[in-house]
Amino acid sequence: MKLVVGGYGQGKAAFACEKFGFRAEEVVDGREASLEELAAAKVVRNYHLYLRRLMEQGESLEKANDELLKRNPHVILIADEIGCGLVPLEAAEREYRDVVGHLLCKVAAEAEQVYRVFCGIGRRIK
Amino acid sequence: MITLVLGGSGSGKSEFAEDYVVGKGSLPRYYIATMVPMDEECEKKVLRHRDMRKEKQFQTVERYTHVGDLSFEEEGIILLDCMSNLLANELYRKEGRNKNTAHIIVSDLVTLASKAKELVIVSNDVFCEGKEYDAFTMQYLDCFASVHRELAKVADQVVEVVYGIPIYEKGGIGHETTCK
Repeated sequence: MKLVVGGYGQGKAAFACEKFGFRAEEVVDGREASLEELAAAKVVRNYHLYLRRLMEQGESLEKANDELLKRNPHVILIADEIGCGLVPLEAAEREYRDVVGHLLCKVAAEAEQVYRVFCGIGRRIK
Repeated sequence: MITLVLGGSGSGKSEFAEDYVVGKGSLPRYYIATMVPMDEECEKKVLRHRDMRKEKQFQTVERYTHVGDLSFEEEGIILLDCMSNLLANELYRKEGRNKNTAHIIVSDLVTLASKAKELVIVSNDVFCEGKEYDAFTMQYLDCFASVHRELAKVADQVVEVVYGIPIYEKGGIGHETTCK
């Protein structure tokens, strides 16, 4: 599994497609896709929003993440870096950053390769 | 030559960019200030930046839109601070061009760069907040990010400043670790 991270709008999906030879249509959007769709995907964008959905439904992120990686061990996951703003006033928003952030640390630890994209420029950080 | 300098609020990006320009030697130094001073907070910021530049011998040009139309007596090095203000001006001010703005700004900046030995562009990195805003704000962010990506493509150097420390994302020191 590979992980591509970076800020909003930095060109992460375009970078991943170019780097690993996929077409934009092959990228599945975690904002709406089901686990089945993610399990069959080559590239998943907005993985942080998939995790956010699970969190809102009260599901275990760790379990869902483990299951996805078991079924799709070579997937390329793309997620926004989400923790660099002001600490939000709403407790649920604070929890989202922490819980999803920590889960993404675990994903990064397990990934064979991790890239960070800044302004469309990708840098391998692991 | 174009150098793009990005960083968060208070990251030291302006100071880095100024010192970078000064380090280029005795070329004429032009400073394009893009922020419209609208209230006391802005005035304070302007004074702080003027103070920072005092010893650095810049000619200050205040310009809020249409930066491609500027002309200069001598070919020198231009520092534009900050692109995010220029974008807001072009998008929302009466005299701004509010259609196809990202493309126009990049093309203006490339024209500006052709009038100097080097153009250094300072802009704000605001993309790691993890917040979803209303559609109007997201549109602004999309346009903002698109200007950054397009500028990064034409720039010779892209530098991220973290508390005064430059990380070269393209060109300069350390560029060998970036990948296509």
